[in-house]
Amino acid sequence: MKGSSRISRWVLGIFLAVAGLLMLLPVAWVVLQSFETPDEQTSPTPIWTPHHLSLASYRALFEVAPFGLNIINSVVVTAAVVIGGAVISVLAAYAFARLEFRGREVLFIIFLAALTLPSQVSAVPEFVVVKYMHLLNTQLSLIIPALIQVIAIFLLRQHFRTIPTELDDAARVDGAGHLRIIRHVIVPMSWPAISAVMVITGQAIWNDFFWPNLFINTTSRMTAPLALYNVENAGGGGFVGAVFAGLTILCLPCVLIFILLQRRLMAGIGYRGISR
Amino acid sequence: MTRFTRRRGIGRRQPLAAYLLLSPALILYIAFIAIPLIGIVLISFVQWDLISPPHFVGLHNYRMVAHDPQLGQTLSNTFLFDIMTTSIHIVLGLGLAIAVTAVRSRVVRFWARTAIVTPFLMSAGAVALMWSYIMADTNGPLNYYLIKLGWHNPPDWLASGTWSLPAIVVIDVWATIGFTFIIFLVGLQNIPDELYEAASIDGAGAWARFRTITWPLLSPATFIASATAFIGAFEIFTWPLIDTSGGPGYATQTILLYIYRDAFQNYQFGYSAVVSLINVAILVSFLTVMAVLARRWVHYERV
Repeated sequence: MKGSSRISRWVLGIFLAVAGLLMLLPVAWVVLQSFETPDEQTSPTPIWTPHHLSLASYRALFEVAPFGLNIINSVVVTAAVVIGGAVISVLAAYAFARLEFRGREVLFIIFLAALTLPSQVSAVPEFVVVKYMHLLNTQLSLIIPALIQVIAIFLLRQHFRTIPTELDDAARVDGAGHLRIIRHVIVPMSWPAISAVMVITGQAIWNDFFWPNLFINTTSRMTAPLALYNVENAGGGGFVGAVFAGLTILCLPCVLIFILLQRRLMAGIGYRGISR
Repeated sequence: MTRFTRRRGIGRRQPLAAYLLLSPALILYIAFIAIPLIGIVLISFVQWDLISPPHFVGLHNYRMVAHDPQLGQTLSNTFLFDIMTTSIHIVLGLGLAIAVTAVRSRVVRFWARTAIVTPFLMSAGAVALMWSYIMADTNGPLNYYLIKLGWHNPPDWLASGTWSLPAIVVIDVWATIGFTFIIFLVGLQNIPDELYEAASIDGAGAWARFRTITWPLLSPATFIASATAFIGAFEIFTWPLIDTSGGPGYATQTILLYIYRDAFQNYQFGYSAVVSLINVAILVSFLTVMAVLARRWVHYERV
């Protein structure tokens, strides 16, 4: 009895180790390829380990595309959406959780209704709105529409309601206004939830392909994932190395961020799931 | 008025402050959620290429639906994607989450967790580009190793009428299984160990424990995972756009890709609005059915 459970434990461990390897194999292949010479990359037999580290692909990438600029664009857009979105969501969630006003319940339900619709369904009319605001082909087209994060407002409101009201009552008696209460009571008390929401938003915006593909068509204004697609398209398969290099630059932060922020990320994704 | 102040404490009834705090979210909501939703209905009644002014065509766009074979194929593709990806998500996601929870070695657990979630954190564009090289017919490592393993003539995955749809399913599951996995993992962590201990003392085997404890207590997670996988399948866009262009023919065209092409490649904004509305109608009715079913079999009581 004991022996069999020990064997099954080993089998389970080996199964998971292999499953993990299989999941990461495609990523590993791309990362290793990016350090190979063009001859090795196009060899009919896959070469896993580059003979000597070649940075030719990375040089090619930054020659065929303003990839440095594209990364900066990605950073700017992501930072603006994460910070701006968090501020807007915290303010709205506080109003919904703590203040009483006419139409609160109705308004909240109207907000929630947006959760049942996939945002991309509104691609056509949103494009029209962005066009008429003269935002097409600007970074702002990626920032402003992304600042309304209904799910974040919902999650934060739920979280704020778990904070005892005595705390903000006490602050109010001391003469604090709403903004001070938010800054000194609500935000510190719910920082784990807020930061989880920020990490999830950041990951989604950094990786987004759909909206940049719709709104941006000037290479120098593109975010990194779109710029890479553009390199692939423009090269007609000729810039294999450059694309591998770009994929590596895009993938590595994901792995690193996951390892560093594993707990926070899991909590964030879990939050989004559980409280739906 | 006094009722509120008495019950909920001092100074909560401040409509002006509330509206001020809400105003940024409210303005953005109106501009980018409410107006587009109303707009899509209005656009469905016009013929419009976004350059010349729109002109009203009544129900013409709706009538076009009946004479559109592409839409039929697109919808059936989307349903196929949906059935395949949702069922794989539940079985594989739950299986992996149970395995990771059960495994003793911390190293293996960390490794498996990282490996399973990493693809979910990658850009869809990057995922699609990556797989187009891996599944390529010439110089693609996948077919190279399949031949080595004895499959003499493996298909050109992304260009084959039979295999392109399953290939897109593989890419989609690889890229998104991490989410389902985490949902189940968090769900499993919330089940108290004492329940399992008690069941073991009562002599329940592994299968009995799964059936009477894990599965019912996990039902909220299962509901969320299947609803998300279901909606996710309707949002499949980037893999067919980059890897197959919806082809060969229309074999891998999804509804979102179809909307995108009608609007931004054929400039038929009116018709694409009708297709968008069909998409919304299907999704909302399915989600309603799921919510009703959930009320019957999802356990929400806290242990």
